[in-house]
Amino acid sequence: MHIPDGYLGPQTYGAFYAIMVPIWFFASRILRKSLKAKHASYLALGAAFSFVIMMFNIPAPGGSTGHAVGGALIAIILGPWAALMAVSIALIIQALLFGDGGITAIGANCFNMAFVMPFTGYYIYKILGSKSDVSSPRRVFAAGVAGYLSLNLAALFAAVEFGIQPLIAHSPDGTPLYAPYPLSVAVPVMAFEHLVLFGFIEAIVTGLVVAYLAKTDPLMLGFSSLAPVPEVMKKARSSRGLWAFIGILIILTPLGLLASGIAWGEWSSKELQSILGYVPEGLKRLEGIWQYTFMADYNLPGWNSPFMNALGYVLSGFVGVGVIVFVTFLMSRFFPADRRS
Amino acid sequence: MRPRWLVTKDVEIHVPDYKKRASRKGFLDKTIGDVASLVKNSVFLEEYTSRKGLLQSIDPRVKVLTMAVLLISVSLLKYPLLIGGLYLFILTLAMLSKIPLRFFLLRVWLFVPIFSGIIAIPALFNVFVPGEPILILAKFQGKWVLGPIKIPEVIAITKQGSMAALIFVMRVATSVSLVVLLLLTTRWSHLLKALRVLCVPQIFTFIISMTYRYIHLLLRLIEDLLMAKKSRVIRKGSVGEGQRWVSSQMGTMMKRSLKMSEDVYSAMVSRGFTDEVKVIDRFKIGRVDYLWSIFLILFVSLVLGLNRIWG
Repeated sequence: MHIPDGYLGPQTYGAFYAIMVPIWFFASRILRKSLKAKHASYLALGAAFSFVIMMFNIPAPGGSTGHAVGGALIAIILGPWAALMAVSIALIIQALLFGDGGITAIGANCFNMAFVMPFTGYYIYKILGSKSDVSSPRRVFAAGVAGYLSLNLAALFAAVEFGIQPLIAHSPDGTPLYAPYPLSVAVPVMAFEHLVLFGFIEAIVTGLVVAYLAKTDPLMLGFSSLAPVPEVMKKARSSRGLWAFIGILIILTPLGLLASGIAWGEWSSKELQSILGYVPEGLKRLEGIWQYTFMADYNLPGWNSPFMNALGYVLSGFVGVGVIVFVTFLMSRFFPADRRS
Repeated sequence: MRPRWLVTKDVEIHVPDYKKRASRKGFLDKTIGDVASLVKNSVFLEEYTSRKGLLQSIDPRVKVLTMAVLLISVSLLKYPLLIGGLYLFILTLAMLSKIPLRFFLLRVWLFVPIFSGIIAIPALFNVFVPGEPILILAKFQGKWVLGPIKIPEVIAITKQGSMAALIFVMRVATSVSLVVLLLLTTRWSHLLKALRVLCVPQIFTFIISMTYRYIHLLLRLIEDLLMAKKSRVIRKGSVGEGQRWVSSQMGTMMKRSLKMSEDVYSAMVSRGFTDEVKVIDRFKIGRVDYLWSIFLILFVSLVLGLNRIWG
């Protein structure tokens, strides 16, 4: 997933540098505040460790091997801000010294692997594993899911970065100047290999390391005094407020019916036609890949009057919430929060 | 007199058929190989950085800045001819810096085709990159749909596709050459100090240099762990066993490095570290640096100007 030099055009890599510089600045301020003078040695060793994790070959079925990125794992142990810096430094050293990943692409690579991955991984782990015993199977499961999903998200970002190149940079006759494949090729190819192979390697490694640490050194997973616990997490201890908030949100959902227009960036090709006057070729092709919806456009087939439409919308909302709650419930049955099971 | 066990032949030791099994490198050997080549790589670099060539004699700060400018201009070029010209310029620089041309070419081109070359091949065909056909390979009746990819009636190599592949591979090769050239002619410690001209904060370069040192320490630890395992194990375990073992090693590394960070911090404090980084550098900008900068600015303006007015 290390994007080399020459794959991204200047607009793209410049934008990612512009995104990452404030993030780095902010992260280092947070860490300096919480770790004081210790942060230099802490980050150096964290980064060295992150570099080394990427060196390990992990056995996969069929005799092949693969590498893990470790973004989620490091975030689980060091916290997301320290992980952001540690993985960034590891990536910078790889690019500067070992030619692994491009120098112009450092911003984009850090965004995918040092920002998106640790943060999504960390919060998925927190959400799925919260309130469970440190050594419970649920924690291991949560870590595995965090590894899998966060890697796939990072890969998706990388694929989109590749895929937009032909759109934003081509010569007058349509020759792509950088990574040549459109989104419709880049995204499925990247998604496939990460969903099928690398995601599982990442999941297995993240889960197993967490299981190993839970057995040998549970303190490391209970957030050592070194790792800063974000304010948000401290407040989230009491969940009653959260439930009330979510409840209000669910009730307010039908307000969406009153809003006119459409969510920004969620246009269908019909809406794009009216906004832009044309429909991008790639979008036209992508639309309609998924045709097996049960409640298309958040409605039931045949409910077409405005009133029925509104009812259908609310109903779809409840079905959606219900499905999510049910899946979460199932999960809590199979992966209990404490060890007694 | 020879002992009896030395003469008798009836002792049979069962040796597993190692050759057959090891036809495919296991994860242990792969990682050991990776670690070894990484260490070898960084030792190798030192040899060229101390030669007395053109780029070695330029102040690291000036060099980092000019190389960054060159790298950005490579990413701005739109025509293969210009990218090719810049590539030749880099080759000339390499020669003037006393880097053996064969070594330099091999280092870049062994790496580029493996990744980017293979990636670029499908771009030739109109299946992936639409364009005007120049060589028709096959004709079908009707269109096929293969997931997100629509196979058109005619499969052909296109003008746009081959151009895109050419530009892509050349751009990657030229960028990689530049980075390799910078690494071969600049000592790592100088490179880091010079990053300051790109507005990288000092604490950041300080942490990077510390990281680099501890990477080597951790790599040695890994090598020991892997060797210990390899020398005690004959049978190849199952995939799951291997995964559990690697994960436990990662966990061990993690614990060790966190412990080490505490020790390192204590050591730093006891030697007077106060969160302020002072770096001594004896860089001096001389006549060569001025000449080089002026030349490079003119050269880059020429190339970018051509890039603008062409076509």
